[in-house]
Order: sequence, then structure tokens, then C-alpha cells
Amino acid sequence: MTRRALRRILAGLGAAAVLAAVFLAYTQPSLMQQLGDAIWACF
Amino acid sequence: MCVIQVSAKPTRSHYIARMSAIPTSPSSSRTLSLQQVLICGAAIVTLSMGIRHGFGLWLTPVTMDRDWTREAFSLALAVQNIAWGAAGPFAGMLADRFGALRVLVAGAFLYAAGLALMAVSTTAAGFLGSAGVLIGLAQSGTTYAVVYGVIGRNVAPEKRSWAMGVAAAAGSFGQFLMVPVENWLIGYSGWQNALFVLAIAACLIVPLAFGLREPARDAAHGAHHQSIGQALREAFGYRSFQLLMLGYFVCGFQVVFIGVHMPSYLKDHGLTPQVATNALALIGLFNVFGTYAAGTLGQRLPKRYLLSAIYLLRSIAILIFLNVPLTPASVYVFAAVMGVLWLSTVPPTNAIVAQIFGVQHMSMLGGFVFFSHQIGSFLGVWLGGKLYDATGSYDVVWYLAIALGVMAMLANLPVRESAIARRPVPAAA
Repeated sequence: MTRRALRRILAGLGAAAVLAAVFLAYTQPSLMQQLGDAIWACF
Repeated sequence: MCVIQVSAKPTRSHYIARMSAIPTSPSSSRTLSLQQVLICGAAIVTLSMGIRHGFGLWLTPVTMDRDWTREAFSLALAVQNIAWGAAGPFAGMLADRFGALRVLVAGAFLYAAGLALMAVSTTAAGFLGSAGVLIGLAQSGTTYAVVYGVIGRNVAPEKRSWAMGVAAAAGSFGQFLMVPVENWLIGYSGWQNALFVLAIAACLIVPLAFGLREPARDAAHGAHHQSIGQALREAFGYRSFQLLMLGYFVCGFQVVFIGVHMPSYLKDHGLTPQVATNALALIGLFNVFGTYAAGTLGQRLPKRYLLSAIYLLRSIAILIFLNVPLTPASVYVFAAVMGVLWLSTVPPTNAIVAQIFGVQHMSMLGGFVFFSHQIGSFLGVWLGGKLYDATGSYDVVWYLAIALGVMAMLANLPVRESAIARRPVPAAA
């Protein structure tokens, strides 16, 4: 495996980890409640 | 030296495919590096698209604290969207004429001022001016049209669509990221302090904008010189530009109708707010992949076919969604599919504009295309509510969204991606 390929894989894994972390933030009960309130109240 | 003369009314003879007069490569021999453009452009769009995306979270604390109606809050956000769209062409003109740096810096300060004034406004009119007008204007100067102009002028055509995909994915990521961040900020520091923190964050656009400071363009470098009026007459008289605007109008209609009215639709069908929240998160997540993929595919495939496929797939996804039993699982699948297709129209649409007309007036023309998107957005929200009130359900608007998707699919098929032909004439001595 070349160094460039390794760097690409690591970058991909890093991006996936960040996206997963943000997605998990959406599952926190406080955010769920806030978003639910905002969504139902707004629309 | 040659200049390109464009007649007041473009005629068919002007539009000869595959002409070579328009420089589709960067217009100056000196350009910014690809990395610099991508890092700074992506960071700017992440901030500018992200900050505004969680404004709905302020609805409850602001209206309770100030004793305003929800209508006052909603009106400010509606005005923000219209101001963003209407100011876009003018921000683009300024960016094309005086450089993106100045427009981005002015936009960043307007953004910061708007956020700070949102926090201290004690009247609904003040809130409308800050959250509505100021932030709408700020967005026009700090989002896609202006940044895409820099990408267009500094990234070679063979990488341009991909680069636009990277910037659009960054904007999508900003939207996805900032909702939980802003929720945390409100909980940790209170809604007013959260706005002040965001105002400081908006100021970060200023140093990033210096990374998009373009070298002075050499007027003689293979250039075509076109006034703003000539560029507008040419673009609005060109059928492919009209078709692209029509497609983007449909994009705005569908995306905002779904974003705004789907939660109510789910509620009407007995699903919990948690399902709507999960759906929102899935749309945000898959939107990042979709915009990047669209930019990358646009580099390899004809962009008009890519756009047609996106609009067709949206219509198919909505049709299936309406005709399968409504469960949390079906909502999540629909949200993921729509997420992939959400802002994926942005890179190919803007890349085609650059391909047809060149990059001299790209931010302005991108601003006009985006304005049609915002008109579609406005109608998507408004008609959604209006037709719901008139018929007692969202069915009519859902089917309207399907029909518009098919229309946009057909509209994009005949779009000509090749550079518009202009008559080269010798410059006056």
C-alpha cells in the first residue's frame, strides 16, 4: 500500500468518525426535545 | 488582443457550440492554489451555511423571553430567505467586479452585526431587521455564489465540478454540524450569549476570506470583456440558462416544502417528533455525501443528465414514499434518499453556468440562478400551507412536487453545456 493510499484511507476514516460523532449528537435527548419543540412549534 | 462583442439581442448565430473564445481555464496566469481555495472556501461556506441552519432552535426562547408571537419570528426568517435570494445577484456583481475578498469581509461583518442585534433586539421590527434583512444580506455575500466565483476563476475546468462538490459538501456539513452545536450553546450559555458566540464565529470568515484574495487579473490575458448588461442580456436570452433557472426553482420548491412541511405531515399520520428529528439528522448526514458525489460525478458525466437524474429520482422517491405504509422505517429510508439528493443540484448547476458563460460574471449569474431557487423555496413553504388549509391534506402539494420534478428532469435534458459562442472582433486601436 502506497503512502498516498494510506493517507486517503485515514482521511476517509477521520471524516467518517466526525460524521458519526455529529450524528450521535442528534440522538441526545435534550436535542431531540429541542428540535421536536422547534419543529412542531414552527410548522 | 481580441475582445468579444456581444450584440444587444443575442441571435442564434452567436450560439455556436464548441467555440473557443471563452477562457474556461482560470482567467489569469496567476491563480490561487487548489488547496488554498478549497480549504478557505469550504471553511467559509461551512460557517455561513451552518450558523443560520439552527435558527429554529431560538424560536421558543426568543418568543417566550420577548413575549412575541411565533409569526413575528417566522416572518423574520422568511424575510431572511427572500433577502438572501434577492441580494445574491448584486453581491455576485460586486464580487465579480471588485473581488470576492471585499464582499466576503463585508458579508462577515454584516453577519456578525445581524447576530449581535438579534440578541439585543427588543422589538419585533428590530428582530426583523437583524435576523431578517441583515443576515439575509450577509448570506448573499458569504455563501455559494461568491465562493463559487473564486473556484471558477482559480480551479481548472477539469477539476471545477469536483471542487464545487467539495465546497457544497462543506456547506452541507456545516448545516449538519451546527444544529447540535447551537443547541448546546443555547443550553450552556443562554440564547443571547449563544448569538454573541456565533457573531464571533462569523468574524472568522474575515481571515479565511484573505485566503481567497485573488491576484489582480490581467485584462489582456485571453480575456473577453463583457459589461454587466451584456452578460445579463446574453444569459437571460439563452435557453439553457432559462432551463437551469427553471430546474433550480423546482429544487427550492421541493427541498423547502419537504423540510418545512414533512414534520407536520408525519404528525398528522401519528408519528412522533422523534421520528421527524431522526429524519432531519439523516437528511443532514446523507446530504454531505450527496453533494460531494454530485460534484465528483459532474466531472465525469454530462451534468445535464446528472441533474435530470436527480430530479427524476426525487419524484420517484416521493411517489414511493406516498404509496408505502408510513412507518418510522419508511420515513428514514425516504430521508436518507432525499438527503443524498438534497443539495446535490448545487455543484452541477453552477458548474454548467461556468462552462457556458465563462467565469467573468459567474458570481452574478450564480446569484440569479439562486434567486430562482429562493422563489421556489418561498412557494414551497407558502403553497404547502395554503393548499393544506384549502384541501385538508398535503396530498396535492406532494403530487405537485412530483410533477415539478418530472418537469425539471425534462427541462435539464436539452441544456447545452458547451461554451456559448461569441464573435471575436479586433479591439479598437
